[in-house]
Formats: sequence, C-alpha cells, structure tokens
Amino acid sequence: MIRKGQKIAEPKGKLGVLLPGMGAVATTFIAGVEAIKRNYARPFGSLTQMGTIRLGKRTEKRVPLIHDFVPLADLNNLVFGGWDIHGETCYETAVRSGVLGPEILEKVRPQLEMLKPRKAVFDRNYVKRLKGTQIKKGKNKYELALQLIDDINDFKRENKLDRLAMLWCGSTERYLQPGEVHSSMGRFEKGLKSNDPEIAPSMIYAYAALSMGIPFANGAPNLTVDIPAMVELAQQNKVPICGKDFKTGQTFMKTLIAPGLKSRLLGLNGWFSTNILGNRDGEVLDEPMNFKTKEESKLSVLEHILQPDLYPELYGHFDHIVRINYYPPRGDNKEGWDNIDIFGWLGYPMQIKVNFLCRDSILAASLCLDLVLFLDLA
Amino acid sequence: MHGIQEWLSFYFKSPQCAPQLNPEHHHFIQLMKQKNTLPYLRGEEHIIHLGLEYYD
Repeated sequence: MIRKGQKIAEPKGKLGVLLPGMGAVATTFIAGVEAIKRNYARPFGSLTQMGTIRLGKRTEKRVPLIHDFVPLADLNNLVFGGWDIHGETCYETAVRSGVLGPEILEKVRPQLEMLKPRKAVFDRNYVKRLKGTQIKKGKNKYELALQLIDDINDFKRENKLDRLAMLWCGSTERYLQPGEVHSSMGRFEKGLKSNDPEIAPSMIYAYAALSMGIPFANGAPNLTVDIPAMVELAQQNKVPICGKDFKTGQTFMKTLIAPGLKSRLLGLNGWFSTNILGNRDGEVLDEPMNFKTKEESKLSVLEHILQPDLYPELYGHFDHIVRINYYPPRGDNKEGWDNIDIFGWLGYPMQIKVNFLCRDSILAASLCLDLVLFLDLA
Repeated sequence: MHGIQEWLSFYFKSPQCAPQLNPEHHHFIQLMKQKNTLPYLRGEEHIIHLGLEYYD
C-alpha cells in the first residue's frame, strides 16, 4: 500500500495512450483532447480538468483545482495510438460515427487524419455482429499477444514516449464467467498457447499491457482483468488496474437516484429501464450473448447500493429489468427511460419517470481522459 | 500504486475490488473515496464533514 504523503514523481515527458478499439468513443476522446489543447472547446465532464478539491477547514478556503493539486500529465504531452478492425483514419471514423460535427472535427482534422489504427486482435466468436477488415493472424493467442507487444514497443519508440496507459474502447464481448484458465497467470499463459476459448481478445490486450507494466482500464463490461490471473500479473509487475464498463448514461442516473431513495428509506417495488441506441455498441448488444455481458454489469448496481439483506422490507422483493434496443436512426444519441415504482410512509406507492436523452460517446470521452491521467498518476 | 485501484470505481458500472469486498456502487461514496485518495497521496488531512469545530 502507498504511504500517506509519499513523494510522487512529476509526470515528465510524453504519455502514450493506447486504445484498443478506435471507434466512436475513442475518436470523440481524441478529437476532444486535440480541440481542448487548442482552446477550441472546454473539457466539460472531466474531474481532472475542471474539478476542485477542498483542503483543510472550510474557513481556510483552500480549494485548488485537482490538476494543480496532484501531478497529472499535461494534455499537450498525450500521444494517441491504438488498434481497430477497420483501417479508416480517426478522422474518417469520427465523421462516420456522427458524434462530433464539422465545427470541431474540421479544426482538428490534420491531427485525426494522421492517426490510423494498427491491425487488431479480433475474433467474431466474441463479437458476432462485427466484421473486420484488418485483423492480426497468429498461430495461437500467445503469438497474438507478442504481436501486440511489438506494436507497443514500436509506438513507444516512434513517438519517444516515457510512459503508457491502455484503455479498452472496443466492443462488448460475449458473456464469459471466470473459470479454471483465469485462476492463475500460469494457467492463463498455458491457455494463450493452447487457444483456450475462454480467453477473449480483450484479455490478450490486457495481458500485453500488464506484461509490459502498462496500466489498463476497461470501458466495456468484458471480464478482461477482473480475474485472478490478471490481478496476479498486475501485482507482480506493479501495475494499476481498475473496474470495467464506463458509467455513462442510464446506470449513472441509477447510481444517483438509488442512494437518494435509500437515504430517505423509501422502498422499491420495481425499476424498469429501457433504451434505444443506434451506434455500433447498440448493434453489438443486439446479440443476446453480448447483451448478457452488459446486463450483468447493469443489474448488479441496485443490489449493491440498496443492500436488500440489511433492508429486506424496503428492498427485498423489487423487480429490476433492463432492456437495450438497437434502433439505428438515433446513432450515438441514445435515449433511456426509467420507470421506478417506490413506496413510502405506510406503504403508499409512488412513481418516478426518468427520460434521459444523452450522447453515449460525449459522456464517455471525459471519463477516458480522467482514467488515463489517474492511472498514470497511480 | 499497483493492483486494483478501488478509488477509480467512480467511473465504472462494475467497479473492481478485493475478493472479500462488495463493489461500491453508491456514486457519492465513490466520489468521496476518490476525493479522499488524492489528499492522502499529498499528505493532507481528510475531510470528514463533521463540522462541530465551527460551533465551539
């Protein structure tokens, strides 16, 4: 464990940001950073860029910006690179994704056109709805991991990078549960060599990163580093890892509302959540085995916040249903509806309706930036 | 710091935590966890929001 007040090294030099999956989220993140660096736009939603932290007594009025308080990498020192199953430049992908308009994209077009993803490690057995045009070939998963390590070394050398961080911005993979092959790094490495089907592509990226001492965060609900083997590798190589699946739209709202209901001891009979979403994420989640991965991630939230074991009368019997519907006309601008059936004094029922019209990649991009900078700090 | 960084739970639908723990999903506890970690790293005192000292 780190000691209180231990000296933290200044983030000197360049920080390479490795993005497996350079689609809507990744290109919105990159375009945003390039625009913010040039003062074309502001980093709304980012705690590291706009957040403050109170220190000492309220009367001291010491409230520095977080990026002045802890040594975080400067945006001018971020260098982006990554992999994708499509060979488009980041500019082409950003235009096709339709998240950002020309008022931003044209201003950072040269920076985005320079960025072309490398060939990806991909297997349709994990994401049935996608077809790639540039995919690595190897005789087994271990060899694919070595190819990724070579890519990372090339990227580091070509850009004269001092440090790196990896952030999975790729699709949701089919549902996997922790098994024997995930139980230790020894078994995992054997599994890589024997092409174990329980090792998904996101795990191959994470393995490459952690083997090289590169911190890893996961924007999708894939199992990836949430297995004993990866925790072991992270500990052994002294690398930080964290959770999975960016908390952006409906679940973000859920984790705001549920604590409020619980704080007033208002009971819950049911919470029905449905979404329409038309981007690539929506298309992938239209496949039942991929939706299952997402559903598990979304469902666990209420149980843990409401603690039905401690409050059985209030939260012991609620129905929690989550639906995601692929609806292409909406693109990245998803819409979520929540119907919440609650009860109060003497058991009298009430309802709350939430209609959140949000932008998936806009909400995710600020999280990407914060995670990269905080993982680098760690 | 290395291994699981629970103080970054704030950003995830499925925060990762030690095997003996339940993940923390409460958004404002996640925020407090994060905002406690940064002063800790810098050797500052934690804010506990008791506030009685202003009324002595």
